[in-house]
Parts: sequence; structure tokens; C-alpha cells
Amino acid sequence: MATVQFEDSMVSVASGSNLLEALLHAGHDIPNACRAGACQSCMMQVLDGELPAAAQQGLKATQKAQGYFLACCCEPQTHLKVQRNPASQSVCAVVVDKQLLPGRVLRLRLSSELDYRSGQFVNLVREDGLSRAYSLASVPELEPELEVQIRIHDDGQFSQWALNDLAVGDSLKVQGAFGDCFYTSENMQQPLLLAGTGTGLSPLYGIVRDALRLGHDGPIHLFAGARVADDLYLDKELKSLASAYRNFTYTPVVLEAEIQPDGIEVGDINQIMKAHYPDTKGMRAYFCGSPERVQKLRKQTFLAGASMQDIHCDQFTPSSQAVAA
Amino acid sequence: MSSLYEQLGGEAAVDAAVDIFYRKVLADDRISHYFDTVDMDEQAVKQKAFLTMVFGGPHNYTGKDMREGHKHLKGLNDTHFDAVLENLAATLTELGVGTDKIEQIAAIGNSVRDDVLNR
Repeated sequence: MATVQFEDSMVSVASGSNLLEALLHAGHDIPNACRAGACQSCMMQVLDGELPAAAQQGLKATQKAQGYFLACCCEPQTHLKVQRNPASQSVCAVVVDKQLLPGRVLRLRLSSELDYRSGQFVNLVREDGLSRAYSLASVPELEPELEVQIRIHDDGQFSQWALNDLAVGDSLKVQGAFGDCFYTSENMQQPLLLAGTGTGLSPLYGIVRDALRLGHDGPIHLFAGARVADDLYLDKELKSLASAYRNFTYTPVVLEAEIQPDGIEVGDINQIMKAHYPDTKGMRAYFCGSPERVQKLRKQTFLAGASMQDIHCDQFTPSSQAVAA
Repeated sequence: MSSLYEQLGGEAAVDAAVDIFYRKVLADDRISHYFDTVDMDEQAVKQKAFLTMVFGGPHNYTGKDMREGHKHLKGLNDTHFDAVLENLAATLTELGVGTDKIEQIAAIGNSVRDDVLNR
């Protein structure tokens, strides 16, 4: 028998039983369905203590890394502290740098105490509650500030405000970090395949630098897509990364070009990636960008042999309306 | 005598089967269009629950869930259901499961046919 701290209460889990049963028995309302580790409805997060391996069987490496587990498969051997999934932090951040990049992208650097993995996303919340989700391009171990890359839309309420009114020294609320699109170092030889279009590049830029920093050994190939060459807003940074690391390859792809530009492939990024990698068995993939693009990339990569467990996606859904929280 | 689910290798066997089965289903022109608009991560979790059930494992699937989960799919008929069972059998063969066990699993699969086809 072991005890588990859940929120403000303590439950004991008898041997032969599991945490889900104990929590339900104690009157907590926990979502659940199959009670057999299949439906994942009862996913929780451990804050302290050692989980039995069975509690994480079948989860993605990125979920395991965040301490996620299934309450129905958890028969704790020692004391645990757990919480509902997902819990988020809400911290204050101050703008320390603001820079306009090519392709109508605004780079913001924010100083904050947020705990995160490079490639996860946060909500930036304005004083009046207007909020938008952005991925983190920064790597906490490499730079002290959070970095987000914001696509400027002509009628974008948040992006226009950030471009015109937000100033260095101003503060924002940051909620997060969310998502399981980040690097984990459990298999450092595995070939990594990354693709993104537009500002989908921002989390990928963080993920690549995180992998290289940790000494990832296998080949890493990033495909960056834009409409025209001028919109490849991280071209310089990625080229210098590619010359610094022998196992990192950067392939810029544009949809339109009148003349074949030097070192850039022209065409559909999905087709170009497929031509490079007709067989993706054993590879790990990260895809970020518009939902249609990401879903196609995920499907083609899965059909070409990669395991679902190894495909990590972040879909950028544009906000149509202002949402006041 | 251990259960069919245990003989197959339990949850680890289901994990091994999910990728293979789902890939076959998506690559099958007879049924792949039903999966075009679903979230693949969510679908993989559902495939796992389905495989757990047909493997004779612990599950809470009911006929009502099966009915609710499929009734929005237009034109779903026996051909589509047969295609799924075919992909299931091919997955099991690929994993080295014996013919007698494949038959037992197909029988469990067949038991939900009327619920899936809403009749």
C-alpha cells in the first residue's frame, strides 16, 4: 500500500488496486473510460516520486518526459504527488527586445521565470485579456529569455498591437507551457526529420538547437518552407547552424521562384521531403505549421514507415475572432 | 488456461499491432476516406482500444459506443467492415499470430458488425 497526494487530499492505494480506483473511491471526479490503459482518458502528471513503469506503457516519449502517466495503470510502490493534466503556469514577462525579421515576422524576447521545453507553446495574454498562442523558439539552457516569432497579419488584432504598440519594457502575462512537440534524448542515434512552413519554423528552430546542444548523434534534416525566398526568415541562422554541425542539414523550399535560386528547392514541401525520404521507418519527425499542411506531412510520414509514437506535431490554428478572457 | 489477450502478449502486443494495423487501414482505398478528417493521434488511441477489445483484453466498449461512434459515417456497409477485418487479419499474420487465434479474434471483431453498421 502506498499513499498519493492529489491536489489537497491524500489517498491510499491498496496493493492489487490502482490510483484511478482509489481516487474515484475517495469521491474525486476523474475522467476515465476503458480502465485498461487504452483510452488515455485518465492521464495525469506526476510532480514528485517514482512511477511504476506500467503507468507509462504506450505513451509517447515526450509525454513520459513531462511525467504524464495513466492513473488506471498506476499501482504506486512509494509515495507520489500527482495532479490533473494539464496544469499550467501563469507568469509575468517583460519585453526585452523587439525586432522585425524578413517575411513580416516579429521576434519578441521576453524575460520570465517560465519552466518549459524548447518547441512547446505559450499563450501571450494582453492586459485586457486578448490572448494568442505562440511557440517558443528559445532554448532555456542556451538563452535566458523566451523567444516567440509572430507572423504579422494585416488584420491581426494581436500581431498589429505587438508590432505597433507593444514596447520594450512593457509586460505581458504568459501561460504555459503546453504541447508535446519537443526533443527528448532517449535515442540519440535516431535520424530526425523536421518540416515547417511560415512561422512553423520557430518551434523547429528551438527543437533543432536543443537536440544539437544535447549532443544528438544521428542525422537531423530540417525542411523550411515559404512562399518566396524573401520569406525564409531564419535562413541566415539555419545556414550558420548547418555549417557548424556536420549532422545537421537545412533545406529551404519555396513555392514560387521565377529563376531557380541557389541552394533552394522549388515546389511543394511535402513532395520534396518525400523525394528525399521515401522510407521513414525508424525516423523521428517534428512538423509545425498550418493544420492542413501538418496533417498531410504526418500521414505521409506514417505511411512511409515511421511509428505514430515518433511523429510530433504542432498545428497552428489562426484566430478568427478576438477572445476576451 | 490464460486468456487470449494474455496469450497474445497483452498490452505490449497491442502496441506492436497499432502502427501496422492503422497503416494498413489508411493505405486501403476502400476505407481510407473515412479517416481523412480525423485527428491521427486521437485515432491511434481509438485503434488501440479497438485492438484491445478484439484481442479479448479489458475494455469498456459497448454496443452503444460502437453505434454512436460510427453512425455519422455515410454509406458504411459490409464491404467496409470486411475490409477492416481483412486488415486486422493481415496485421496479425505479419506479427506471427497463429491461424486459430486469428479466427478467434475475427469472431470477436465480427460480433460488433451490426452495431458498427447501425442495424
